[in-house]
Amino acid sequence: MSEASEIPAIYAQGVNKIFNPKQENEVVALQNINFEAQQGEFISLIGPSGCGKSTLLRLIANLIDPTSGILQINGKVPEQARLDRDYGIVFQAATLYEWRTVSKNVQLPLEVMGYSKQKRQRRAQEMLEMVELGQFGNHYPWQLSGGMQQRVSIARALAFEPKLLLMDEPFGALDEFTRERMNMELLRIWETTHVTVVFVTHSISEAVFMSNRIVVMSPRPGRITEIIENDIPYPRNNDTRESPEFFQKVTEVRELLRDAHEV
Amino acid sequence: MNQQNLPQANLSKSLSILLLLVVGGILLFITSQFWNATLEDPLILDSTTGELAIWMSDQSGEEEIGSYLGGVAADWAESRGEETLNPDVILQFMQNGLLVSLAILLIVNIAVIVSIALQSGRTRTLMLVLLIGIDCLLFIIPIIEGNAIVMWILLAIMLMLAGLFIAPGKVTRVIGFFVVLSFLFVVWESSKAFANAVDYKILLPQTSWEYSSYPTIEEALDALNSGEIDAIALDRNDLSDYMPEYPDDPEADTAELAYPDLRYLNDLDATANVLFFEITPEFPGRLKFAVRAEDAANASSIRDFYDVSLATVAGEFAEERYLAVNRNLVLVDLKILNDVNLPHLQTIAEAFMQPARRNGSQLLIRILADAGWYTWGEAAAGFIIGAILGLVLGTFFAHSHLLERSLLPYVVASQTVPILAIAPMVVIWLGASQLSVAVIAAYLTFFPVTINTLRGLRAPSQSQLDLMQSYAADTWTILWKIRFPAALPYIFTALKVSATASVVGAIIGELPSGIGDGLGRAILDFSSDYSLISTPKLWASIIMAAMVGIFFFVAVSIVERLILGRYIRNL
Amino acid sequence: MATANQQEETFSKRSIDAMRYYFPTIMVAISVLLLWEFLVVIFDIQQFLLPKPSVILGKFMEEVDLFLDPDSSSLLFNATRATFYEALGGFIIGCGSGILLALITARWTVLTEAMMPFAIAANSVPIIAFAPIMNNWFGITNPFSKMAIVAIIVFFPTMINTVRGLTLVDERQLELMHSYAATPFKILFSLRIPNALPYIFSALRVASPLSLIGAVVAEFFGGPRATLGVFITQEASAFDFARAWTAILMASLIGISFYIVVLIAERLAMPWYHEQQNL
Repeated sequence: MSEASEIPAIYAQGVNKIFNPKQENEVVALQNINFEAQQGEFISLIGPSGCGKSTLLRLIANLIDPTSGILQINGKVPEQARLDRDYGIVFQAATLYEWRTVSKNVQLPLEVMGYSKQKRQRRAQEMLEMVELGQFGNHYPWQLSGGMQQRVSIARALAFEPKLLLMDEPFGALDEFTRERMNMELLRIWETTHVTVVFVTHSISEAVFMSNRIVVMSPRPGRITEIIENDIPYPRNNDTRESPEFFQKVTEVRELLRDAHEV
Repeated sequence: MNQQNLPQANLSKSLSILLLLVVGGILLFITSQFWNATLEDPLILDSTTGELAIWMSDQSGEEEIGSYLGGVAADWAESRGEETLNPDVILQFMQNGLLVSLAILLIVNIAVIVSIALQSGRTRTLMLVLLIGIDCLLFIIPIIEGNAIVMWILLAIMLMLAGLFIAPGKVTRVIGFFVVLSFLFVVWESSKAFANAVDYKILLPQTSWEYSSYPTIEEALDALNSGEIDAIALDRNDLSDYMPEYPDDPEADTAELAYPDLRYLNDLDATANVLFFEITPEFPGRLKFAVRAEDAANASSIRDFYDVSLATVAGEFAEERYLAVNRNLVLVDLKILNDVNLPHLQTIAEAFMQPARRNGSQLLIRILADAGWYTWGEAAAGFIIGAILGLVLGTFFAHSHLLERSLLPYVVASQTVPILAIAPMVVIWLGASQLSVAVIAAYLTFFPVTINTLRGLRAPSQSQLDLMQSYAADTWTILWKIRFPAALPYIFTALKVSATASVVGAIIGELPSGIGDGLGRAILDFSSDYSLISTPKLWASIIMAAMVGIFFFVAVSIVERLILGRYIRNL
Repeated sequence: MATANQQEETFSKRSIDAMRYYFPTIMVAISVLLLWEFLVVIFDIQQFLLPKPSVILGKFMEEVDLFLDPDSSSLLFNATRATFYEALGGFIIGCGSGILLALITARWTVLTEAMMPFAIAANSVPIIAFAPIMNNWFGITNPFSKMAIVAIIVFFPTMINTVRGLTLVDERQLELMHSYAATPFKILFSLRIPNALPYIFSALRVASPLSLIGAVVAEFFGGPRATLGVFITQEASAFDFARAWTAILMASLIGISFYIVVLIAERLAMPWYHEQQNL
């Protein structure tokens, strides 16, 4: 149980997001979202297209504003959290700047935040080594494979040691084998850095493999169907994928998704 | 969120209404001026419509009527049973017309205010209409000494621009175009007003030269020799009696001269330039400076003598007429903004609505329209030929790598030969006719079309082509169904560029011998004379050329929109 | 030992491949020139209509000799220098202000949206028609009258392209910058400007030959004797077409060199772009 004095990483109560309110193309992207995430958890948001999981991630990232409701990140309003650089974000596309080398790409947030040159370079090298790309600092993004580019973008997101790591289907564009390897990588990084992770995906096995809590969502309007605990013990590895607990959990999630869809 | 916007929205709403009320006030003021004006008032007589009216009444009495409006005037006279139409009749008609237009503008103004209050979506459109209406006033109302009416119109336009910025809604292309255009008009007229106010020169006051005057030349020269003073300003003829010139004669034999160590500077730059603008006053040609020989090499312009201890001889031209007077340095010569170089907008509009030659039977606008049509014909013919050639070449290149490899570099290289530079020769080869001009336009068109057709036809992906192959489609079908539609956006991009290029090519082609009756000839004719009469007509021809260019571009854009419809990607 | 031989082999193999690739191109060049030379002779085309390439080259070499001789000067080379000065000046002023204005207005989308339609319309106007006005304003012999025309010609496409480059940024990259709470200034420098570089250079590549042509054609409307445009019109009207062609040859050479300089600058400024595009 979390200590009473520890502030939840994410606290959402009655959060709604409506696009184009009172107009013809009004869309209720999120309705009455309530949930809480503690520090150091690995949360997955899973659901079919249109369930609002990416929208929720963007609300947390303060890239859009909620229509109503309370949303707090580390006990602050999302805008303050963003200004305080509380989180790093990773998108499905690696979004690296093609005119910068890999190392300079990782240094980008550090530049914005005003770190000194020496510190930046050192930190970037550390992060690249953490994602096992230490040799590739001077390469350009287009010289790297898709999986490697995503690793760089994870290194970049963690470069300034944020408390929160937000990921929007980061491995969606990769093939299955690479994806499974990246899942292991991410778990290893999570276990080393103790960062809170919010992971959006539509792969059930990914969600079950990595997270300790799974938020199942459904569309029209976007809402949370159920939040289930995933207590398969850590550390998890490739054998975990073949264990009966794993299959049980996957089935549980799948049934929840199916029910939600049929409603 | 909506709560947040409300006070802001209210503020901008009230501000807009305030602006529009002021504009309405200005319009009322202008209306009253026109209402109270008699037919002899320069406000009516000198306006574009007034001058047109005078011309029309003159034409009505002519035997041969060459223009539509002349014919209208003649018919009108006939219906009144007169030989020549009384100018007052048309003038009155024009005045009434103006009053009606102003009334309409006032109504639109009120409509805008209402629309703002109701937060209607039509606000911006209505504002645009009002803006264009006020712009038109600039072209009709004459500049009258002592009457600030044009200044009020400029103010009204600025207020409208401010209003358009504050008003909510998206800035469409049309609005953007007219906003910038109106702003340009305001800059045009206000810079002229500014230049007029400072008398076309921005002056820097400069105290008169501080100098001492000596009773005789010899005494002055002695003082220079001994170092008491640094320079003498004197008539060149007097100086040359005593000393050699510098730099023309640096090795002159000075042994026999009275003052061997002195030189007079004959090669001084009497003007100074800053950023291509002249700084004067120019030193009168007959006056030169005399300095010691060792200083001679360091002085190159008048500016070197501004703070030097100077002398001259009492009673001479230098003392009485030049050095003793407080001078002004002209820092910026604003003659670019005078009425010959930059005519008033109304003058240009009037030039359109007047005959090209005095007592001519056709208005300039008709002549220029004909010339524009002539030039456009050449441009369009060349454009079509070039486009077809480009399409064919591009298609061949897309299907044959051999052809592409051998010929494409030449297609590229052909563009390094500046056809526009060869234009004089092309015209002589093919004879001075519309054909040679069309050839120039075709040359300018075929290259971009070839390149873009080639790129476009190659654009479809391998998987799209494989699909067609699996249907056992032949080359022709693939070309028609897949490659060509994919190429259309590219082709149209090239066509839009070529449209402009063809018009440029046509005008340049007409230049060398002033071919035919095109715009090139018109521009040449009117640029030969630098006067208050000719330059507005030159401006009018250039504006017509600009309109031909824009028209052609818009025409191609419209065709593009029709054909590509929803698939068009935003510029 | 073996590797050296291998290297030699690949080198000669590569040269043969290159020659085979360019063979058709070279053949066409030679045949066109030969054809030109012979056609003129065979059909006895009047020299004043279409001079032989050999004659043109001859006249060109005469001018080169004059140029290299310290005691005399070549009108052609003086004219080229003057015209190039006008073209370069106009290029710098026009492209410089285009990029500057784009940087200033890109910050406020309202301004760019308002200015773009006007810029696009102005781009379709035959700017060269304003040459007589510029001659009036600045004087026919003042090089600035031609520079002004060139500057206006290259200003609009450069501004349009730069604005596109600054605003057509990947949405995700913008979001990333927002997530770092980066100031708009930082976003401009770290994201928008590098993103705009390919667009800017594309405009500069178009502008370089355009400025030379613009200067030459502006001179058609009147200018000092020692300029290429005036040179061409005068030689053409005196029916010395061979000399007029030498001027065209010069103009093309300078144009190509200018273009190549811009290409080199582009390679230097964007090393990543070219490797990526494999150009």
